[in-house]
Amino acid sequence: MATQQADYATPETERTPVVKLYLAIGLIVFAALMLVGVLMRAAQGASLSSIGPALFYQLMTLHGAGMVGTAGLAALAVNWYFLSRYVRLNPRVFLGALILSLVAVAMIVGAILIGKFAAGWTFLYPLPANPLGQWGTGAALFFVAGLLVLGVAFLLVYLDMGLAIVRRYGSIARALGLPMLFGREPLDRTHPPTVVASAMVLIVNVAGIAAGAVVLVMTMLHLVFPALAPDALLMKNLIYFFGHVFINATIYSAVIAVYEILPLYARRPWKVSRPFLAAWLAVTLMVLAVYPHHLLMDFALPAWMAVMGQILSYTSGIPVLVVTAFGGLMLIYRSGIRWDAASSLLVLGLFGWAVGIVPAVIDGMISVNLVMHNTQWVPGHFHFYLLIGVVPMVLGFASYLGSNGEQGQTGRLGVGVFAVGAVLLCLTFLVSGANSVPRRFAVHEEAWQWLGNLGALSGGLVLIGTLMIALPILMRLPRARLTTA
Amino acid sequence: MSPRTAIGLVLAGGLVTALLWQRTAGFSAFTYETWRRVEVAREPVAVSDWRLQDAQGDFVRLSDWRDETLLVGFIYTSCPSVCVAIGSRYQQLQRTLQANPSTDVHLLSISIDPARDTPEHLAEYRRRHAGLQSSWTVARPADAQVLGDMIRETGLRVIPDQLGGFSHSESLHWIRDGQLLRISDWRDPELEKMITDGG
Amino acid sequence: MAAEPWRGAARTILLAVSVAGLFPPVAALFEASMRSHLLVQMPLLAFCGGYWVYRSPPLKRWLERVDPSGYIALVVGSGWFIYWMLPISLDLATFDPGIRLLKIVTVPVCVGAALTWSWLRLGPIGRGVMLLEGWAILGRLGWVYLISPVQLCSNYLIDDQQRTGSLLLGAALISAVGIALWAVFGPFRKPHRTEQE
Repeated sequence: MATQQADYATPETERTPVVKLYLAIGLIVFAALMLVGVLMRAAQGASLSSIGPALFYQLMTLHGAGMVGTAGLAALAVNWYFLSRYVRLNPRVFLGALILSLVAVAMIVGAILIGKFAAGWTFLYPLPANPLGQWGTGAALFFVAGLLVLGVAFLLVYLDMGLAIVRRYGSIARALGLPMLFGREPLDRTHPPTVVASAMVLIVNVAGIAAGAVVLVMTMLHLVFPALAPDALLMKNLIYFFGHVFINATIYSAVIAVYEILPLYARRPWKVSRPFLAAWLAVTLMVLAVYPHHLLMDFALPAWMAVMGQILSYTSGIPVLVVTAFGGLMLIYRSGIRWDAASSLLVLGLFGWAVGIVPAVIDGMISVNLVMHNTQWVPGHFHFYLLIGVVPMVLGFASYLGSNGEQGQTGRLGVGVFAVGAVLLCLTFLVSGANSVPRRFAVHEEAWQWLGNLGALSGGLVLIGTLMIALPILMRLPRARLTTA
Repeated sequence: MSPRTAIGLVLAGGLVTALLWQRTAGFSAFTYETWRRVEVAREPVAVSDWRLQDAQGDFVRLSDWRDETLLVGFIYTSCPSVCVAIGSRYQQLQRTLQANPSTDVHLLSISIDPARDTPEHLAEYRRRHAGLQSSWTVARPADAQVLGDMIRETGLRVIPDQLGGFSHSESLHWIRDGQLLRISDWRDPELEKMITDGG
Repeated sequence: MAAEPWRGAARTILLAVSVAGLFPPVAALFEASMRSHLLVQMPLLAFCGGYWVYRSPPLKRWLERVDPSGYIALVVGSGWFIYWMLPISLDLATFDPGIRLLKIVTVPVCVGAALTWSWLRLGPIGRGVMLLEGWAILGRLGWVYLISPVQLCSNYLIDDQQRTGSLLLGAALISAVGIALWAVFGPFRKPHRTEQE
């Protein structure tokens, strides 16, 4: 086994430089876009009157597209770094994808800041083609083309990963552990969880990118030939299939950091089991079919799809969460774990993921969704997952790699500030939502403004916490020797 | 990548772009119908002196409207769809002509189904759209030879539609002194303005 | 090369079918509907070019010298592929003998042969991108044909166009299932077999 691993693994010298680049860019962009988020909340709180509605929607599009893209890239870095321990990945492809992504980012940011594109990151058809004078067709085209380039960048890395996995494990299905799950092969308890998670992410994201390749080009064709008008409901289905799968997959990539780093703290291996494999198979299928919960309000959607969306929303988060949270707690329990920045962040990530289920499930109910979908409950729900789930996992990963988790008093304090700010921020969203404060409104009623200001304040805390953790890592990163074993 | 490959790539990319540029008339025409419009706008096409038979049964030639600009639409009277719409459009345009008697534009509808479109049918088509003989002539080609010439010279496409009728070009053709000068869409809201400007 | 006579025969038949597309009766047959033109004749012509690359060592040697990376072939092939996706090209090929000749020559050579060569040269990642893009083209083109409010080709009725769109979408659906099964459970050979690098 040991020799085999050496044959397949990516050489240590090739693994680290590109991952450092991803992390550095990811952390800086995260912080910058957090600032954008704070500005938006402050504008809603009316304490920043210089941000008018036109600018607000540009910022909203920037924050959305930027955070989704950055979360994708950062989670990809986690995935790539750990998967490269087991299979031989090509760092040049990984670097190429980063360069291509930066080109895409330039296109997207240019479309928003120069072209004033402001249709939201979901570019929901037919809004990009109906700007009412806010932006030009060129800006919309650039934005959509940027997303297409971003999709190609990710596709390249996933193809490389898939290839390497097939080389070592024979097929994606075997990497996912299907033969072991169904008793065709004996259970190999040393089969790495990272490989299982990577196989799942690979499957869903390539499917999502394929849908994106169709829907993005159809959007562009509609922009150029307005008479060519695709069915709006079908477009919406494809957009949410693409968008939901992509953002959902970030948490399943980021959780690899938990699988790989927590065992090092606990000094116990994370072993796969049949329930673990079953959970990952279930989530592979569910992530592909859960997206209709974005369309519960579309009366024209076939009823069975809405029902499927609701049921899967209840269940989709649960399998992997249960095996991961339970596995994580089992791992930590009485292990004498050292609580430093990295381990606290990773456990915070698990907490965010676990508790994030609650607002998600509530929102996934058709009867609730009809009332709540256009309130701030929904941003509350996805900030819970992303800000208290994905971001801490990525930060924990960066902290462990960059400073071996040892960030001293500042680091621990940073985690505390981050956690308090993030929870508070999500609560302001959820409380706003429960009080029917609409989402995507640039200007808020006076009665809602205190929530916006509180949100801006807690967003500021999040930003400070992030900087306290990220700045020391960024300073040390160029010289850091990244090791995990 | 070797420098040779790089140069080859740039060359190939340039050639392919030039090819597509040429075929689509500068990325503006993707269908035959739009391409025809762009081509004629770029360079007028000569048309022969078509011999036609009008709704009164009289034989006329294009050269009979020597000092006028003809707006020519191709129709057939049993057409249930677009020819009706073009007829209504001509009705509107005729009102513009009446309001501006000084303009020298004349409306001409030519049948692409001469076998069935007898002068009686042609007259009935014009009546249906309240057409006036003074400013709107409805005619059919005098013989098969003229029909062929018309189709060839204008680049018109006419194909049977499997319902006993035809699918044909819906565009309107501006002809003056034996020259096809421009091709317009019948839905173009600028048509009125073009008429008052004298074609 | 001539060791297997059936191969020679197959080549002759393919060549004959391509060239016959130039002559009015056969041309009329192929070009009678958009479906047969776009979904039968075009793929057949492209296949001829691809087959030629596969079976001709001299051609391979020449390509090896001119375009060892396959990138140039990819650019040329994609460009001509787009060219023949334009409704105007399809239209002109049905009544302009010059464009018809262009079709008979360039679809096998500049599309079929070029894309086959780039496929042979590209690594697995390049092939993956090509495969996904090719699949997406089926979906997009089919969708456009199905919903276009205008008759895109003057020579093909709109119902023919819509039927062609449905067929393309059907092909996209079937190939999606096929590719997905192959990608997840494939490549259906024993693991640890030595790979040709």
